[in-house]
Amino acid sequence: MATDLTTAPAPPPASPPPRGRRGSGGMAKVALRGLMDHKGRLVSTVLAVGLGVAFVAGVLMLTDTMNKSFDDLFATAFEGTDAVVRSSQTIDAGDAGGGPEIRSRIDASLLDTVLAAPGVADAEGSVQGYARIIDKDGDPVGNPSMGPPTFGGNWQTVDRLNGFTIDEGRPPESRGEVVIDRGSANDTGYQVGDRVPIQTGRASAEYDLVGIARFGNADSPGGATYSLWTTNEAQQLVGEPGKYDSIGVVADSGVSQTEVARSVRNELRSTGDTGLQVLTGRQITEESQSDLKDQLSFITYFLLAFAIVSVLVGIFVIYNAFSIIVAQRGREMALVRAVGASRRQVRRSVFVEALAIGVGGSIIGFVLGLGVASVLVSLFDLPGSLVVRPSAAIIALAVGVVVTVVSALFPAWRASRVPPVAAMRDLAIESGKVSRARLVAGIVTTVAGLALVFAGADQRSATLVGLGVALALVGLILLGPALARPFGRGIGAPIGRLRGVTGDLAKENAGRNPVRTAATARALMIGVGIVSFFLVVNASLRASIDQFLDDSFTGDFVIDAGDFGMVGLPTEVAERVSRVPGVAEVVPVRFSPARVEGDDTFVTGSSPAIFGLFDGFRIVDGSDSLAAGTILLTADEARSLGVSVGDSITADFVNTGQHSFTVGGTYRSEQEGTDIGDFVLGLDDFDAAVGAADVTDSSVFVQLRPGTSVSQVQPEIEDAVADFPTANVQSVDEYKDAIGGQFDAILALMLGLLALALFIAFIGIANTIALSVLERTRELGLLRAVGMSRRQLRSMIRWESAIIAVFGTLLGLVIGLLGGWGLIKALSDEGFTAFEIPWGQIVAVVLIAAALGIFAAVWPAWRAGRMNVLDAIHTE
Amino acid sequence: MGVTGCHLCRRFAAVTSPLDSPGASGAATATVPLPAARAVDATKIYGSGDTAVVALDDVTVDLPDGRYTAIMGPSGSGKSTLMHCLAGLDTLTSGRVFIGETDLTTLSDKELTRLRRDSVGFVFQTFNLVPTLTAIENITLPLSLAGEKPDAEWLEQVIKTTGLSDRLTHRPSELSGGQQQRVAVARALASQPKIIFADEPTGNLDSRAGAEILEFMCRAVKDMGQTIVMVTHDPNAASYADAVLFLNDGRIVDQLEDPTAERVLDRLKQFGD
Repeated sequence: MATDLTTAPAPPPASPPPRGRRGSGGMAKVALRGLMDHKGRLVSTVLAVGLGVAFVAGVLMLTDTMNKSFDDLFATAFEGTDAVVRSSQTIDAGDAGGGPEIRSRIDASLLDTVLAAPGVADAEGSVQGYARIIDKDGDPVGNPSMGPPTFGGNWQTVDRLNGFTIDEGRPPESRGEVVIDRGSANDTGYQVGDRVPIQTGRASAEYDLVGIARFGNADSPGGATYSLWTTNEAQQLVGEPGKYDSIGVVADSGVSQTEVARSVRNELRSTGDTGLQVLTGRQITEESQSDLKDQLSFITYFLLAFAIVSVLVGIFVIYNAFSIIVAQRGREMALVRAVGASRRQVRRSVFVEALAIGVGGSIIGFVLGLGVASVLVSLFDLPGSLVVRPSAAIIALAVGVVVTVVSALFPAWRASRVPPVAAMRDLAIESGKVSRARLVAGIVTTVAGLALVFAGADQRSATLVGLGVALALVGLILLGPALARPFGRGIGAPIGRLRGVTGDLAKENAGRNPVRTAATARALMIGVGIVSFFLVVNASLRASIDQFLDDSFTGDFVIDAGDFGMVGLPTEVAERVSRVPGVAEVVPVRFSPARVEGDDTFVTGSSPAIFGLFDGFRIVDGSDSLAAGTILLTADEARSLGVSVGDSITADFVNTGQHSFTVGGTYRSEQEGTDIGDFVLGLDDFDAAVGAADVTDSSVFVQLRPGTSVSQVQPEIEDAVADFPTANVQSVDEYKDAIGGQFDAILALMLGLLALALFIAFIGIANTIALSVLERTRELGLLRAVGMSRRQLRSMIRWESAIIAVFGTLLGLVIGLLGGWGLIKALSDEGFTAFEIPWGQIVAVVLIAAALGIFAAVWPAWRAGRMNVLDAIHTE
Repeated sequence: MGVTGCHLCRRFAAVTSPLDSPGASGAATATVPLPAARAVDATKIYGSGDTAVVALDDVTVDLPDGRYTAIMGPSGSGKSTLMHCLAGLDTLTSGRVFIGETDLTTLSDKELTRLRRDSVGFVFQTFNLVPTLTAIENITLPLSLAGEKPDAEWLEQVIKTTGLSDRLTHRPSELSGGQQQRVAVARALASQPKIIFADEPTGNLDSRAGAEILEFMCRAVKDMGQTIVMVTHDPNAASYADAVLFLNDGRIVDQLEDPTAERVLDRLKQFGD
C-alpha cells in the first residue's frame, strides 16, 4: 500500500545539517551549520551582541581620545616650559563644594629673583582666572558649569612659555586690547578689529579684539574659551595686581629641567622666600594631565554605567535567543545524542555557536563602536582625531565574547540534558509549567525585597532601598513566567474586545510560552525600570525644589550667572540692584574655599537677611546678626567641632592667611536642600578674608517691598544689570524653570544613553517573535487555510509583540517606581521632600513601548504573511 | 479491517428524502446540477526543464454538490495537488478550477482567503486545531475571522452531531485524537461552506476513532446536505464515500460509484501491476 500520499512534490527543502558525527569536529560542524541555516536569527542575535559591544568600545575609545587630546593639550601648553614656580599653599575644597583646589598667588617681584638664577634664559609670570566672552546676541559663550571652562588670563610674551600662537592680528600690547582663541572667534563670528564684550567676576567691559590665536594645532584648548589681555590688565580683571598665579621658566640651552629647577629653588631660598614650589616642566605637565583625567573620569564612569546597562540587557536577549535555539533544536540534539554524541559534545556545539556569534557580534560591535565614539567625540567637541588603542579593541571583544558565551551557559547545559529518546517523540514546544519551587522562591524574594525597600524608606537608608530593589528585581525575574499568562490576558483583554479573534489569539499566544515571554520581557524590564526610575527621581527632585521655593523662599527674584558661581557675578550687580526703587532687600551669597579648624571646606559670605529670606533657616543659639568678627555655623558643625556661642574658631584663606572668628550663633536648616553651607560670615569679614580680588557673587536674592509689583520691578532690575550680560534676573517661577531645565538636560542625556539599551531589548522582542512565528508555522498555515487574511495574521503577530512589550514595560515600571519611591523617601532628609510620579511621561513610556513592540514585529509579521499556506501546513 | 461502509448512514439516507435535508443543495440539484467544484484542463507542473514533474496532467473533473467524493491513488499520483488546487491553497500551471461559479484562477490572495473562509471547509490529517483556542472557539474560528456571528441553530445542530457538547470548553490538548478531528469537521461545517476538503482526515487515528469521523462526515453529507471531498489512501475510508476517483500519474484513470472496501482495494492493486 502507498505510504505518505499527502506530500505534494514540493520544491526540495534545504538540506538538513549533517547529523551524527561523533568527533567534536563533527559537532562543531553541526553547530556552525545550524547557524547558517537560520540567518535571520543569526543577524538579530549578532546585532544584540554588537550593539552592547559598540557602546563599550565607543566609551573606551572616547576615553582614550579624551585622554590623548588632553595629554596633547598640556604637552603643548608646557612644551617650552622647563620649570614652574608657584605657591605651595592650597586649599582643596573639592569634596565640599566641587571644583579643583585653589592656590595662593605669588608676588610679582619674585620674577626678578627667578630671572637672576643661573641657567634661567627667560621667565614670565602667568595670570589665569575665569572670564566669559559675550557673543553678538548678548549671550555668554559656553557655560563652565556644563562644559569646558571659560578662561581669562595674560598673553605670555615669552614665546616658549605660550601655548598659543597668533593666527591673525597681533598680541595685546596695551590696555583695552584682547586676544581670543580661534574656536571662540569662529563660534561668535568676531573679527579682528571688533569690540568684544567680556565679563569676569569683577567687571564687564568691551575690548578691542586685536588678535585671534590658535593653541598648538587646535582652534582652542579642549573646547575652552580664552580671553588674553596684557599682564597688567589680566591682573586687574582675573588676577590680583602685583601678583602672579605662577612663573614659567625657560632654561639656557644645555641646562636640563632638573638643573634649572634646582637653581631656581636655591635662588629663592637664598632670598628667603618661603611657601613656594618649583616644579620641572615635565612634572607640571604630568600633574596637569592627571588632575584633568581625574576630573573627567566621571564622564567615563557615567558612560560606562550606561554601557553596562546595554550589555546587561544584551545578556538577557542573547540568553533568550540561545534558549529558544536550544528548545527548537531539541530534536536535533536528541538525535545527535541518540547516535552517540556525549553531553559534553552537545554542550560544546552550543558553545561553538555562542563563540561564533560572540566573535562575530563583537567585531561588528567594535566597528559600530568606531561610529559611536566618533559621535561622542564630536558631542564632547574634542580636538584631534579618534584614538583607537589595542586595549579598547581587546576589552570590547572580550566583553562581547564572554557575555555571549556566559549567556549561553545555561541553555547549553539544558541542551545537554535533552534525553536521546526525545528524538523519537514530539518535543513539547510549550513549557508553560512554572515549578512550585520557582514560584515560592519568587514570592519570597519579591516580598523580602519590598520589605527592604519599605524599611530603607523608613530608616532613610538608600543602601537598604537599593538592596531591596535588587531583590525585588530578582523576585520579579523568578515570578516572570508565572505572571506572564495572567498579565498577558489582562493587557490583551481590551485588544481582544477591540480586534475580535485576532486580538484574542494574540493575547493567548503572548501567554502561551510564559517562560519565553518572561525572558523576552526581562530585557525591556531592566531598560524601562531604569528609565522610569530616572523619570520619577527627576520629577520628584523638581517637585521638591518647587515646593521648597514655594514654601520657604520669601524673596521675589534670584539673579545668577547660571554657572553655579564658577565665574560668578561682580559685586556691583548686587549694588546696582539695591538702588532700584521698590527693592527692600538684596542678599548676595558668595562662597570661598577655606580651611576651618584644619579642615578644607567652604565658607559662605552673606548678609543677615539671608535667614529671613528662607523660612527653613532657624537660629538655634545666639543671633543671626553676623556682626564683624563673628561667624555662624550649623548646629551639627558646632557639635562636631565642640564649640558654642562665644568660642573662637580659626579659618585659613589662601590669599590672606589665618583669621580668627567668634561664634556668633548656630543655625539649623529645617528644610534641607536649603544649602548655604556650614559656615557663614558677614559680607565685610568675608571680603576681607578672601581678598577683594576674588570676591564674586554666586547668586543674589532680591526681596521687594510689600505691595510692589514683581512684574513692574523686573524690567527695572534688568535695566540696572544690563551692563552685565551674564546676570540672569529670574522671578521665582523662572528660577524654578531654569533649575528644572538643567535637570531636564541631564535627564534627556540619560534617556538618550538608555535608548540603546531599549533598542537592544526590542531586538530581543523581534527575535522572540520571529522564532515563535517559525515554531508556529503550521498553526499559522492552518489559520490562513481556514480563512485568516494576511492582514489579520500580521495584526495578530504585531499585537502579540505589543503585549509582550507592555508586559515588560509594566514590570519595569514596578521596579522603577519602587526604586524611585524608595530612594526619594530614603533621601527625604536631604532635600527630597516631594515624591511625584510624572504620569504623563509614564503613560508615554507605556505607549512608546507598545508602539515599539508593534514595530519590532513588523518584519516577522511581514514574513509570516508571505509564507505559502500549503508549505506552512506541511512543515515538520 | 473494522466496519466497512457507513451502513447506518445508508439506512438513514434511505428513509430520509434528500429534499428534506437542510442546506441549499437540495434545491440546486433539483434544477441545474451545478457541481460544487470542478477542474477544467487543470495542469500543474513543479520545477522546469529536465527536473520538471507533472503533478496534474490536464485533469477535468466535476465534484457534484451534496456528494461525498473520495480521491485515491498511489503516492505522487497528484491527488493531493488536485485537492489543494481545488481548495485554492495551490495555483495551477494552466487550466482553471471553480468553486461553485467562482473561477479561483482569477482571484487575488485576499479574495482566495475570503473564499476559503466563507465557501470552503478544511480537515487536515493532523494539527487541525489552534492549540490556544477551546473546542468551541476552534469551531467558530472562520466565522470569528470574518467577524460574523454563528447561526445559533445550525451551530447547535453541528455540535450535537459531533457529540462533544460537554467538551466544548476544552483545549485541543485535552481532547483525544478522534475528538480533535471531530472538532475539525465541526469547524468545517460551522460556516456552512459550499464544499469541505478533507486531507487524510483519519490518517492519524486508530480504526475505531477513524470510523467515527468517517461516519460523522457521512452524516454531514446525507443529513445536512454537505459536499465533501476527501483524499485518502485507505480503501476502508474510501468505502464511506458516494464515489471514488482514482488518480495515477496526474490523470483521472477511473471512477467507482458506491464503493466498498474490497472493490477499492481491487482497483488499487491494479496500479501495482
